[in-house]
Amino acid sequence: MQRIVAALLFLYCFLPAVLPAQRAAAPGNRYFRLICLVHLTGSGKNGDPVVPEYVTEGTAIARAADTIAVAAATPPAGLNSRALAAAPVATAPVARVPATVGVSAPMAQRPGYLAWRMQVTDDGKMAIIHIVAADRHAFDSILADKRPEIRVFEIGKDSKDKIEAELRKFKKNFELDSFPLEVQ
Amino acid sequence: MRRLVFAGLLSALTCLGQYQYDFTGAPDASAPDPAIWAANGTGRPGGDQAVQFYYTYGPGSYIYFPTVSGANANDYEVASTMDVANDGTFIHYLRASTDALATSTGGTGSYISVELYTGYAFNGPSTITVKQCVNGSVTTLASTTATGSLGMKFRTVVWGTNLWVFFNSQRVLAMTIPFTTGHPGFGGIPGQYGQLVMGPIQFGPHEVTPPAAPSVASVRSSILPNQISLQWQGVSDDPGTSPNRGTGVLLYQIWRGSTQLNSEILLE
Repeated sequence: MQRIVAALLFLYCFLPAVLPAQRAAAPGNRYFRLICLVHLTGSGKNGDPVVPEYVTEGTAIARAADTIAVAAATPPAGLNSRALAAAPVATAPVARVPATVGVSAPMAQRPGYLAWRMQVTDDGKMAIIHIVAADRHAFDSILADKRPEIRVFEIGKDSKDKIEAELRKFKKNFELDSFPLEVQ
Repeated sequence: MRRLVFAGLLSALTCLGQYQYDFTGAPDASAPDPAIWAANGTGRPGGDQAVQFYYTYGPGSYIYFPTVSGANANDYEVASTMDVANDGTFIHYLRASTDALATSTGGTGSYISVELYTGYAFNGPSTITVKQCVNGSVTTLASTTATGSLGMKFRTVVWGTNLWVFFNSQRVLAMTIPFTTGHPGFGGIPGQYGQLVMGPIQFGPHEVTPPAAPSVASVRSSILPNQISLQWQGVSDDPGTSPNRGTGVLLYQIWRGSTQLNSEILLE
């Protein structure tokens, strides 16, 4: 009996030390990621910036979710003395939750697009975008896009060679390794 | 037995310690020196070495005229301390024309902007958006989120077509940009009832002198069937010979032959 107890005690004390250390994934490899070829939208003029398709909506969903989370965790205005000390007048509350936020609520704790970046194609008409999401369902709409000019690749499923071969038809020197996106 | 080849330190940039900026402070927001600053929009004095952007005045920018030291005056770092954040957007201007000004709906002039929307007192993730403006035509290049805090240093480093964004010493965004020339600057866009205070503002060169390589003799290893541990003596932060003293160690890379084994930052 004493041996068993000693053995259990030994495992309890020392097993964690010999388990392989678990490292966090690199910021450039975290979450679900798509590489896509999509159209550019917008004129670039006031109130209408040039931006790739999909990313505005995906980012808005993520920001709305963040706003809800912050609103739930934020103490009543006035408790942050540092921020208010320099305020010459009272300011508006932060949490202005869009009315449409609830529509996306069933997704993960971090819905929408966490990050994205883009490169304009050689003809200047389309964009190659790198999108990151914590919930793969954030990609549902773009994965369902069947327009013939749209290309959608999923990192981890589609090979680097396949992605580069196709997208180099639109951007001559495209290299996947030169298109990273780090996300916290 | 597998053998690792430790190929040394490959990348380093202004990250730690003794980096020296060309400028640290803030313009007199009410009457900025025209030899140093091009002011667009309206900022206000925000206290000691700080500038406030307040909702009744709208957006503002201060573009820095003097040539940044270093091998290439178009390669530089912009840094600012986040003092007050209440519904607004902090902005670092890169490769900017003297009339550069980002607004909530567009922009004037030409610039690359790194725009940090903080909400209230950095409560919750902040949104970082990188935009390009060419003669008033704005294109959004990238967006990500990161968690910051009041009092942190918001830093952007640009060299060639490379842009890195840091919260203190943590890199939160790395990407490429199309512009290669132009001035640095800073500014803000207060929200509907918002205000921002940022300062001191800092401009400095892009350090190009690499730090010394780690000593191979200092590398120690422990090899198990499915795990290899390495330990080595860290390199010094400042080799001391560059005219822009203060090279920082950003990361160590580990290679096995021609294959890089790690991509994450390895710093103690």
